Amino acid sequence: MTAPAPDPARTPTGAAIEVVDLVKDFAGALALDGVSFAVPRGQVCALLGPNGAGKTTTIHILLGLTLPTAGTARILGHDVTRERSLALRRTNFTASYVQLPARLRVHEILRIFAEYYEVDDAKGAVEEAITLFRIEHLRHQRAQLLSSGQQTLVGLAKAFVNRPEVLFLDEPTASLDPEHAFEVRNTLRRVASDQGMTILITSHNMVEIERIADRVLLISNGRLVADASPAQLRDEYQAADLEEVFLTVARQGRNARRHPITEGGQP
Amino acid sequence: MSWRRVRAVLLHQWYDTRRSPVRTIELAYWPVLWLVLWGFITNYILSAGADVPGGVRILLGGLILWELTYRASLEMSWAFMIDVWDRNILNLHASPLTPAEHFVGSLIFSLIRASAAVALLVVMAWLFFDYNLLDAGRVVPAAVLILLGMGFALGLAIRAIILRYGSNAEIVAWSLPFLVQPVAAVFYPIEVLPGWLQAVANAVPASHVFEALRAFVTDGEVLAARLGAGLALDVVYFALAATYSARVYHTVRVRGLLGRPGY
Repeated sequence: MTAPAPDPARTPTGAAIEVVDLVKDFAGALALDGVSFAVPRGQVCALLGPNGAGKTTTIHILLGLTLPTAGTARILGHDVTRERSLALRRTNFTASYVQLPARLRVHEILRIFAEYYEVDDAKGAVEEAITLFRIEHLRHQRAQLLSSGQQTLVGLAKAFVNRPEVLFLDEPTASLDPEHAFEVRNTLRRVASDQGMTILITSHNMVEIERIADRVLLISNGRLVADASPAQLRDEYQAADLEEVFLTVARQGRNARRHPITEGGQP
Repeated sequence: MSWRRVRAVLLHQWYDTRRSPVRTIELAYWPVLWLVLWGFITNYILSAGADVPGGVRILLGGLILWELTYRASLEMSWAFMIDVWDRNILNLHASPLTPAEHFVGSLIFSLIRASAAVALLVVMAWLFFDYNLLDAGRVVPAAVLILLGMGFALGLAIRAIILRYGSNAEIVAWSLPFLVQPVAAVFYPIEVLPGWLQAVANAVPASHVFEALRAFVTDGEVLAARLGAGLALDVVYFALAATYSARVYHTVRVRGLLGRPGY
């Protein structure tokens, strides 16, 4: 793929994902209230928080689906509001709540998305994605005949078809059985490590996050309240696991305050 | 504008059409049904000894040419609706595909489908009802251009309405061309309309086309001013539809509607 090279002048922090003072006000309902963070290249970063905390809104702003009320969102140095196509060509996305063209066969769907992302060797990339998620047996199936778990796997293959540098995953394993979820987590971890892929992932499965995330951003009521590695969070909140940390933050609700943990998950 | 992404839109439409018997059959079903109905109506009028300026068969010319506007509008809407029905809008907007590229891809596919439907009607009218549209001569190319332009402008506006209000607004896609048809002078001249409706009709590009068509068939006269007015109105409506679409695209992103599950 001949993706445009990042402009170092526009990526002063060298971050793959950069969000600065992001505010999103949905007609009086404040979804994001000054969120800032930067995710360096190659990091698997989890964005956690209770329902309605602002996780999906953050991802949708980063994908250019939603416009921020204030603040900036950049992917690989490209402002997603002004340079949407350039930024998105090097990213990809899947979520548990999106569906795929119902009447198309799996290989056709992947082929079309490979073309949307202008992948050089579209055919090869489709085969690679199919192999990566072990869905060879689904290649000629129509999307409308797939189970929700199979749709999720095809959605993940779609998300990998352009070999993205930055990947956004919104609850990607929500409809998978434990075995497939385990395999997907391993695949994500391996690809992130081998290819230096940056991943921003949301999930309500805390065990999953502990296994794959280098870093956790905890968000509550549109504000970032913690930013650390899973181990650091457990220590700071004196919790047995990440689920306990999550419950503490969720119960604090509007009173949740920024936890004084070193940013970026660095010790 | 990436032509590769435009081509991918075409590929998606082609795959979907191939797998959708309804979409394939519909292309011929309604046009042929209407042609047969109007073909027999014109036979009956002729057998009763009645006539209209330009000949009774000119009603078939109106029917065939109106199909261009209707089909262009319908196909543009359909090309967008399949992604709404499939809940694929989010995937598309999260990809580098731009609304303009999706529009151009849909337009090319709609053009192919509209041409196929109208070609079928032209051949059937000639074979079964002794009517040759090409007898309308030099007016036909301009008529085709203006009527297609009107259909695409309508389609663009309908796509924007559906983008803004979701699949609940799809009734607009099916009904808007029918709302315009009574004032488009397809089967009767503008002068038969009440005064206030004549003003409305004069603002419809198609009405100028059909007036010009009737004038040519009756007197052999090419009403260049009429055709020019039709073309100018097309440009105005297309610009309005494009502006409305851009505003809607901005609004749905401000309101976060593209990301709504099930949108």
